[in-house]
Amino acid sequence: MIRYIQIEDSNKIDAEITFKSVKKGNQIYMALENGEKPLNKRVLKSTKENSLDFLIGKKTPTDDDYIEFSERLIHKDDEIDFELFGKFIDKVDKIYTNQELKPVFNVNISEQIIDPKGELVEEKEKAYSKSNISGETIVKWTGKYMPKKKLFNKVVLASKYQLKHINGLTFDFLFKIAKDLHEKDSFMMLGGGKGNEPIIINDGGKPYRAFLEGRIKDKSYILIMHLSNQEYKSL
Amino acid sequence: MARKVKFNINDTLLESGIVKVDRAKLYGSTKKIVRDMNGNECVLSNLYNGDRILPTGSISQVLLDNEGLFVSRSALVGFNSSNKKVDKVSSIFSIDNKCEKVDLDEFLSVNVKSIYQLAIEEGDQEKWKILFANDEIYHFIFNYREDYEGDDAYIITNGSDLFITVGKKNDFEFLEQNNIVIDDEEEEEIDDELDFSMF
Repeated sequence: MIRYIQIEDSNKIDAEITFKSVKKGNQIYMALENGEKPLNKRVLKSTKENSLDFLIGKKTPTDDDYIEFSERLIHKDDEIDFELFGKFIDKVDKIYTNQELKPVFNVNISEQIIDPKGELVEEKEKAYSKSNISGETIVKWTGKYMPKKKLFNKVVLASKYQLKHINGLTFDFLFKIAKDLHEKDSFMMLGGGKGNEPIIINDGGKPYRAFLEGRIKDKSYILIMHLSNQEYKSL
Repeated sequence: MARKVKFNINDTLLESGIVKVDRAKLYGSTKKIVRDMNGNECVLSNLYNGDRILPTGSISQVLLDNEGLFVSRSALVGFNSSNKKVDKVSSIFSIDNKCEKVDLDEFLSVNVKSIYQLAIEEGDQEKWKILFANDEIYHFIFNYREDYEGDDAYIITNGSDLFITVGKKNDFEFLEQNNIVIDDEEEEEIDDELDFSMF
């Protein structure tokens, strides 16, 4: 899927452009001594009918139940399905089940808010967060320049997205933004919603503060959108 | 007692404990709860072949060689992109970690995986302060346990405390007018951490 972001500049002119997450993967791969790369396979090792809870058949088993179950295991092989166990499998679907592992068709979803000490603060209906970076919403230029040297050690600039032009007009648009930020040696704080809200990249995703960084070299540019949800704070 | 990490910064040998800065410990966290219509908590299970319910933990990953035989993870070694075997990278706890001063742009290119705070003993505070008096950034290779690939780690100060930012540095491409590449990209997975609560 091609991903777009609608972003405005200091003159409140907006344009739709593309962006890509920049993430360097592992540089080393693991293989056998002879260089052969092993195959990674998913294998089935248990089912509902062979699970400990199902075989004991009680919600809160007593010690006697466990002892009786152990005796049964010696005489029978209930815990193993010889047809299925060890079978390679590819795709599985995710479903909700109750504690007895029976499918549940209607569910209510809520979220518990846990404080830094691990205590439950409240439980409330889970709110669905909607992406606010394109379509009817524009990522706003807040006008808050933040010198790079002052911000880098205050917030954790965790993930990076490179903004890219899609034609000559958007090249000029992004180059000017990058040049402005490069010359000021500053980040621009970006805002979602009315301009003071965090941005949400994906529907259902987490909100982040976004900071735009620009670098230029001759007639070329780099525009990086840094996302953060944490400060450099001591525990 | 917490293990100490030794750092060699500008030929000054210093040591410190490290404490992982967990975001949930700073801001809290959220937990998604799913209940059925009777208010009983549900669990997420796997459905295989449309008729088999597999409880969490029913599926395992195995490694096989070309002949279909089981391969133990301990039998694997690391290779680089030129298909050459590489040596293991030592754990940060077992060596003097040589730190090199780097510029801000390199630090800003890093995708961050984790943050640690340095737990410096009272008597050493001044030595550290001198080295970071001008907001210096020092890089070293970070490997918590010995294995084949370390991460990039950067020591910085926020003025009062010292932190290690661990991640991977990236190379960004300068774009020219005729560099029009429209990338196809998967949406990222969503998790359930607490909403941002800073500023």
